[in-house]
Amino acid sequence: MPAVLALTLAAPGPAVADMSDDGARLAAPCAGCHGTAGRVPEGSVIPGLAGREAAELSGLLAAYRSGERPSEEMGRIARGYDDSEIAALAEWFAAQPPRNEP
Amino acid sequence: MSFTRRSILAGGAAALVSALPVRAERILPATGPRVVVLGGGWGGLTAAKYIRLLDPGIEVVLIERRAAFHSCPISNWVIGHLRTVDEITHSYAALSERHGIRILHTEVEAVDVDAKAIVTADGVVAGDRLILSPGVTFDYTGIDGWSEAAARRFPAAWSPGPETALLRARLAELPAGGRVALTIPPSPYRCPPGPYERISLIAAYLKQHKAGATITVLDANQKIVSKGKIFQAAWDQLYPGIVDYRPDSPLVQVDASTGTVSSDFDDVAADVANVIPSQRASRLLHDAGLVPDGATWAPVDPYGFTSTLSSDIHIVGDATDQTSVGKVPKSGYIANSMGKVAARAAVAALTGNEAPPPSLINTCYSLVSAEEGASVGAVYGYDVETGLLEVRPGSSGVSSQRSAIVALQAWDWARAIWQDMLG
Ligand SMILES: Cc1cc2nc3c(=O)[nH]c(=O)nc-3n(C[C@H](O)[C@H](O)[C@H](O)COP(=O)(O)OP(=O)(O)OC[C@H]3O[C@@H](n4cnc5c(N)ncnc54)[C@H](O)[C@@H]3O)c2cc1C
Repeated sequence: MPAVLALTLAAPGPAVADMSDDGARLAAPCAGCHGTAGRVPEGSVIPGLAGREAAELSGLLAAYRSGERPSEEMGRIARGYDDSEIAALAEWFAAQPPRNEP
Repeated sequence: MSFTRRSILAGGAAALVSALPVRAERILPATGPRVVVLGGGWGGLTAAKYIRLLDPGIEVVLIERRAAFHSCPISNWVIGHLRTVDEITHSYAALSERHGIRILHTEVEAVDVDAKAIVTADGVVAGDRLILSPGVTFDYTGIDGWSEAAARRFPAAWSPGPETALLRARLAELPAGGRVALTIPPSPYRCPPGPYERISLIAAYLKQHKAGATITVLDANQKIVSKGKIFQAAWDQLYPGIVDYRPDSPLVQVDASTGTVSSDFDDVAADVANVIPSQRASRLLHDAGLVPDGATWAPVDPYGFTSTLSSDIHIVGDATDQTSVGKVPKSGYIANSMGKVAARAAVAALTGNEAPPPSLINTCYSLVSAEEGASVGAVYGYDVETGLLEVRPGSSGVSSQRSAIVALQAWDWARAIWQDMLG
């Protein structure tokens, strides 16, 4: 089972799921493609989100939403969120460490 | 509606009780607040792990029969010889080692709703709340000639387990010029685009390795259930003369001795036949009274995925009733999203807090060939008016055409979401 090792490389820290944080709640299902807390597996064509600038992430989501930036999936996904939700998502991902401490 | 009262005395589980000595004694006594999760599949794993991430003070016991996780997503790729069984088989170890989840590998015999307990072959495990994600039970009623021999001759390969490898091996043994048959049940079934992805990847395999071989499809539905234009175009353009697709053709009869599957109109004699059967919520939920009499799926309140019939019990995944949830597909991605919502709701209930409103995403990637795929997806929020999950306006959509990038994303999606559940 060679894939087993790869699955255990990135462990999320406790901040991954915070009951009171709206960003955490909205971001949780993004993990399906972008990895737990925005940390993707090695070599993924889907970009990681953890630790990127909030302004960059919210700008990208707005550009996907308007169609200014073409995409396969992100246009429709971004249209699922309003401005304040996009801001909460962007801030939350920006606050996540891009890699786990060992 | 407890196991002891109803099933044993009324004889509902009499056969099972005599065949398997169910031990009624309590095992694994709780040391603090505890959630017991049934099912180490997409919904159950996600719920178990996210409870521990949200509140490490809550004990989680996960009960699953299989020693290792087997992924249905990507299993079509295995059947089409694009990936191996090893690549869809993953260890549960990190859940106990990193997240402190207690995993019990045993057969679940019943759910005791009153006692909030899971009755297993090894004893009874009780909790303060239950999260149930047992998936589907196959339903072969109404198919003439169905038998144990038929089950061996016409594997489903539609749930985690060894039939994926079996179907893959049978395709490898198909003679040149041979015939494959595949039957699709009426919707709703798990993974709307799944049968069509499987047809495409079998066709790709035949084209490359089995000159002259064909695949005949009997679909109970009026038309291709998901990504219809994309699959049809792929079959016409990439596999002309290989895919013979017949809509509105429910399976009514099988003959295991000749390998024949029949609709009301056609008899298809095949060298290899894959019968994807009709599906309903796991029989465990029916037996426990968590599915109303005469219904097929388990109704829930999608705010926290509690059963509408028992407020301390959450039900997630394919077993849930879409008319109670909203228009979500029975997908692994949705089961994962539901697991996170149920985890928050369970933690909130155990800590005296209010659960936040649910927010879910689905994206289903399908391959149409080894190189190209297409995706479908949506974002869902909770609507207080309807009490259902509703698609956020504008967020639902399908790829306009097949593409190479989606095929790459599909594999990286699987790697990411496996890690989200198991890492
Ligand atoms: C061929 C195929 C392809 C698919 N592709 C995709 C895809 O690309 N993307 C996607 O999002 N979804 C896909 N799906 C759908 C996805 O697999 C399901 O939606 C998902 O598995 C549902 O999760 P669940 O938790 O409800 O059930 P499951 O994942 O089936 O989990 C149920 C678990 O409970 C355990 N269990 C059940 N009964 C008992 C018992 N009595 N005792 C002990 N353990 C028990 C089972 O062993 C299993 O591990 C696909 C499905 C198939 C069949």
